[in-house]
Amino acid sequence: MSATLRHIRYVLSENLVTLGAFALFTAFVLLAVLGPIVAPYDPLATDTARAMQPPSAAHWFGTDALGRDILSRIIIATRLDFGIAVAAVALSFVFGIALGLAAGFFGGWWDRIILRLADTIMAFPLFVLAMGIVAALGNSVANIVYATAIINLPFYIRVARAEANVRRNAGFVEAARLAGNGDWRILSHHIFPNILPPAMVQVSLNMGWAILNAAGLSFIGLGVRPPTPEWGIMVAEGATYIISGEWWVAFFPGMVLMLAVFCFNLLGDGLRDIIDPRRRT
Amino acid sequence: MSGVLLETVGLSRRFAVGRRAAGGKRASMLHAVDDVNLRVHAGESVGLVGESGCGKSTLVRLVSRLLDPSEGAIVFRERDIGAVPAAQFAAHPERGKIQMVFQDPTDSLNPRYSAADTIAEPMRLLRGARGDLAIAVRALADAVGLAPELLARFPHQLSGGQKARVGIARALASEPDLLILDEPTSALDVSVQAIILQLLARLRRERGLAYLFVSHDLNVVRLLCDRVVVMYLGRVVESGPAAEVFAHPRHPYTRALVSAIPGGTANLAGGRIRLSGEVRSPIDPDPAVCRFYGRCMQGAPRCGAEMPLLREPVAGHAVACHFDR
Amino acid sequence: MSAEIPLLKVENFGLEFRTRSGVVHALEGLNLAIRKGETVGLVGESGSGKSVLSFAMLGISDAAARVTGGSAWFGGLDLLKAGESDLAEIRGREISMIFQNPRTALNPIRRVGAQIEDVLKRHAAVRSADLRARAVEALRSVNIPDPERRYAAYPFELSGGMCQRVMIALALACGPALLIADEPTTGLDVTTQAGIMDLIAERARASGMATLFITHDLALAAEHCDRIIVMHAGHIVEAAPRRELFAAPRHPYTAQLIRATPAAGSLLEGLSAIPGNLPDLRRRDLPSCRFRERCERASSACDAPLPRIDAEALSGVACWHPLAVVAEAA
Repeated sequence: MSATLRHIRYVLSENLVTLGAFALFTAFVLLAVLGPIVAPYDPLATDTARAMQPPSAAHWFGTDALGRDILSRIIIATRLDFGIAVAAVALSFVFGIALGLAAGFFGGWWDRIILRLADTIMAFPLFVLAMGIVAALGNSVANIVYATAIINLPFYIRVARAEANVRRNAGFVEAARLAGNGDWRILSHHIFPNILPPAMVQVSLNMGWAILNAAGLSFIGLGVRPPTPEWGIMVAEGATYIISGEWWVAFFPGMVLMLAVFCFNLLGDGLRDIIDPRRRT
Repeated sequence: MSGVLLETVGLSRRFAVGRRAAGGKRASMLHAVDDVNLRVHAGESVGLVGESGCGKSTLVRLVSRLLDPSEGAIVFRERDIGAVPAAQFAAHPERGKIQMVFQDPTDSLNPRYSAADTIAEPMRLLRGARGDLAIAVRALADAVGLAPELLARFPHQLSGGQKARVGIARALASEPDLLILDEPTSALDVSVQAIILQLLARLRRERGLAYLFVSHDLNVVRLLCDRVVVMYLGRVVESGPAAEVFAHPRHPYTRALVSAIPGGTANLAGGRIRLSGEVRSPIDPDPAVCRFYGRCMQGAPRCGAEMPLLREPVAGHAVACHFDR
Repeated sequence: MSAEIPLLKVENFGLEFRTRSGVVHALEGLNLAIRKGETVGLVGESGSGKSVLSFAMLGISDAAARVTGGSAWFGGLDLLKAGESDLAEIRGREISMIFQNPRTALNPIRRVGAQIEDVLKRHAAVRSADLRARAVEALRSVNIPDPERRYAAYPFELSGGMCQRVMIALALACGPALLIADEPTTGLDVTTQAGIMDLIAERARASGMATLFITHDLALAAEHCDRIIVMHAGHIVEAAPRRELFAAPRHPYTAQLIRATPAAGSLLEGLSAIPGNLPDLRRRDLPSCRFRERCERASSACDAPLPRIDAEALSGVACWHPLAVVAEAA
């Protein structure tokens, strides 16, 4: 176990970008967990007397049209945005990897059907598809999660299928068969652990997209509804004021959104280095 | 010699190649293994030699039940195991009795399994061992000369020779009767090769194993095998006692093979033989033409009209050539 | 013979790799010379540095590689200090190379004939009207059956042996003075291997070309080389004419290597493995003799700097306790 920790420390010290991404990620997770404790104000408390104040010592990120503290709203929104992203990515990871493994390993009809499914999803503009799903299923947080999971499914199917396809013929799979493993055990015990590194990179990239997707749906009025604090809604609410000079209302939530996506994208490569045992020295 | 452990009868494997023609014509078939009768006695070491593409890997995968035959039977310990689909053979009672050591020690080890996990898996799955197998794994590691402190390591932390030992220990973990060795030392350095070969010889002596040893290195086959089977384009062209085949090869292909051994030319009458011409295609081959015709220095019109069958001019030494009398 | 200026003379050549986990002292103090028309075998196990050496001679090396010293004179040019344009001029025309795994060395989406024409155009200044004829001729010269048809073939349509023949045709198209053959037959069948080795020897004889034949297979080197150089862990440990080397190996490593190699007459019991492993070349405290920790003859005398083999000497041994010539030959 200590070897693993040493390795993580080694990868991080060798790669400052990854270290920065990890630090940022940790900060986001802390905000998501501790949100209500660290937020300086009640995110829902309106105070028209203090509406539209620019950033100041009292309100670091300023206040919005209803006089709510933008910093507090951003902090509280972290839990919701991350929650949606994690749940959606977890769903597409589980189902996408399972489908992709079956397609790549068994080939034949499995492969044809599963690949068609992935192609069908990919044929739509993904955001429009997500809009359609939420519109059809109803406007709720759960449905945003399902929609985001569905549009991310093809990426996992493809990663798992490609990797399983290559490894299906690897010597260690033949050896596992000789050691008495049936198909399912080969998939779960031999191939799955080996596709974890590329899948984790996909997870990290997807987290960024998932957050952006959830925010995007809220931005156009689907999914999360006001007054719930959510980054997408906050950007949408602030967008109208940019022309009139109240830039901070949209700027800070947009900035945080960008940082979150950026952070996950950078995390991908670092994760691969940590998970792949061949890079451990 | 004790009883027959493994026997293949008319074993063939064909693979469909290319696209089916639009007219509904049958797809072209690659004849990888064609009508092979192979016999391995208990405790015997049989070498299987031939060039790449001659079907020895396919044959080995048929016998080890990783691949299903197109035709023919595989009789192992008096049971026909050829009819059991390869996908279901993992649960077959004979699974543990036929094991294999792979060519590439790196590729054949799961990069995420420690040496101990790799060796323990067949014990659990094939012998129903439960609980802590540390003692059994350690004993097996000891038998193949793998230091116990290496058992916790992953493949990338082991040297080539150490990985080869892990592969051998895994194959022995289910206590097989027949061990198939698919070029077990071709990926190793000479300095390690010698000790692995000696280990294999010792294990066979101690455990009464039968070996089916595939190799392209005839010097190695000569060292390890009692009998040798020479394959050419899917068919057996010669088989016999190893010393006999190397000293007096009867088939022209075997003669060329023996004369190509580096440093082996001197003791062969007739000097070096170099093959010219092209290898015949294994796709839909003409059943009436000798597969070696065209490359053979003795080729005659008869070879293009009649496939020579395997005969036994001398007891125990079979050859498939019209010119052998 | 020693009065003659060698074709290639490498002196005191050293090379290291800078890696994340430290500096790898890959090659150190190499001396060797190759004379005109000579076939020299460079034999060593994996990790001995034999391929690194051959690539360095062509100025091809990893970005992490750094030459630490020495010279490699070829004609009037020091290959280690030459600029990229000089090297490009020499590569292919004066020094050619063939590799293991010919299929990957050929461009998969160009016909083999066109690939030979490229080389002819670039290095041999052949008129475009003659290109096709010369390319077919080149294929014929490496005993490819039906060269007219093979001219239009793609690499994937040819067997491994055929691809290696095409590689040889490419390498020899401009009549180089030196051919570096890096494990040219590894992965090929014995019968094909014999054909390829014969072909190289035959072409070398015909044009007076020198060959540096790099291999891990001592038996193969024994059959095809005039002189053999043995490498271990980035050092040249012994050089000797072939017969001398096998009759009376002087370095303990050479002797053990010969004993470990299965040959025509050997018995399994007669084979002996070489104990120990290569030393970690990243170590700061590498002993002056890198075989020392595996050697049964090592003593405190081995702490002294290793005796070097003179580049132009026909034979030599880098050891303080070499095996006696007479005793071993008897």
